Amino acid sequence: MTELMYKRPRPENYNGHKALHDLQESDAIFREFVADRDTVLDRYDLDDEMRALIADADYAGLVKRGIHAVMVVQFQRRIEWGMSLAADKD
Amino acid sequence: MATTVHPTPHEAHPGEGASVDLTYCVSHAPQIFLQPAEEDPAELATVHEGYRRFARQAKELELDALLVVALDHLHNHFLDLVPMFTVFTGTPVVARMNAVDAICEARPDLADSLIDHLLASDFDPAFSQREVLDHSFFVPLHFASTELETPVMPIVINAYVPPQPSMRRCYAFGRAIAKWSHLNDYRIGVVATGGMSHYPGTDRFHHPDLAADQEVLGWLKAGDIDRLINLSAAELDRIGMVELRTWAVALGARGGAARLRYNTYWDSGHCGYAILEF
Repeated sequence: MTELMYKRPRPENYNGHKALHDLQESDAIFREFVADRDTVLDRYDLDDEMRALIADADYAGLVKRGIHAVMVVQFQRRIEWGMSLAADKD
Repeated sequence: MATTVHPTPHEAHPGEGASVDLTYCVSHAPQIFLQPAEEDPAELATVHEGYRRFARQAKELELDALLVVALDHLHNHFLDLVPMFTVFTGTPVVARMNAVDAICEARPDLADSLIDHLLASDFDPAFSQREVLDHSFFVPLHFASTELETPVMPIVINAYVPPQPSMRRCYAFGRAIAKWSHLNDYRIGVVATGGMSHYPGTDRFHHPDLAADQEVLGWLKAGDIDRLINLSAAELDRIGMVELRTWAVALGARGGAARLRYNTYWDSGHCGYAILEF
């Protein structure tokens, strides 16, 4: 059976999704992340692999790990294009 | 020139059963708003004009409301709670992208009425009174808003986070909308946003399934809606059309022998941009 492009999120990846969601939705958290990635990522209970994937903005690695591809592309657009697709709750 | 237009005069909806008064299925890719240099301005202008087209028609038809059926790209409906169908019942309607807002008049009274009807029709939608809608609403509404005088009723479908509602369930949801408008003598339009084939965030981003786009357009031109609404979740994922669940809602609301009577289509290189009227 072919693997889905948009997979059912696994609960063990919740904290990674949560960190990326906060970076996606909050301009303030994203600015803080750009200035000091470790301080921001310390707030999430991430395993070593997930922490490195986010800190290194390893988009392909995040998808491979099981992070939803839509969240990854929005993270990528935030990092590379400075674009916010967020509903913006700041 | 990849755009095709098949205009036909408006006529009474053929087929049996309740039907809404206006039905569109349109794309909503962020690039349609951002207008990057690599995308043909003339083709983008055709899409923008398509958005204004449904706004003008909504006014001409003196609709009570325009239901915009779109989705959420994991902004508001994060993994804490993922509803399958959400009716926005607040006011006003606010959609946002890149810190730009599209603000439209709402009809919370009609939205509440619709929820009551859906609950009586074996659907259990969520509702939201405060939700800044994402680019799936913003892109069409931003361009339509210059001519849009009709109140908007947003409905959010879970298109991206498995498990999603089936195409047949989305079609049935649309049938319930049509029945609600008929029973209450409301004049309603439905604009579904999404598609066509695209794969955001994946290694297929630059390789949309253009053959699938043409196959689906062929079905719609022939009025063969069953082919579309029988697509499985796995098939939609494979051909890059998970968002077409919104189209199934619109086609259900259209009902009867829904047949494509106007369309534009352009392959942007990452997504087939379509404006379809039924």
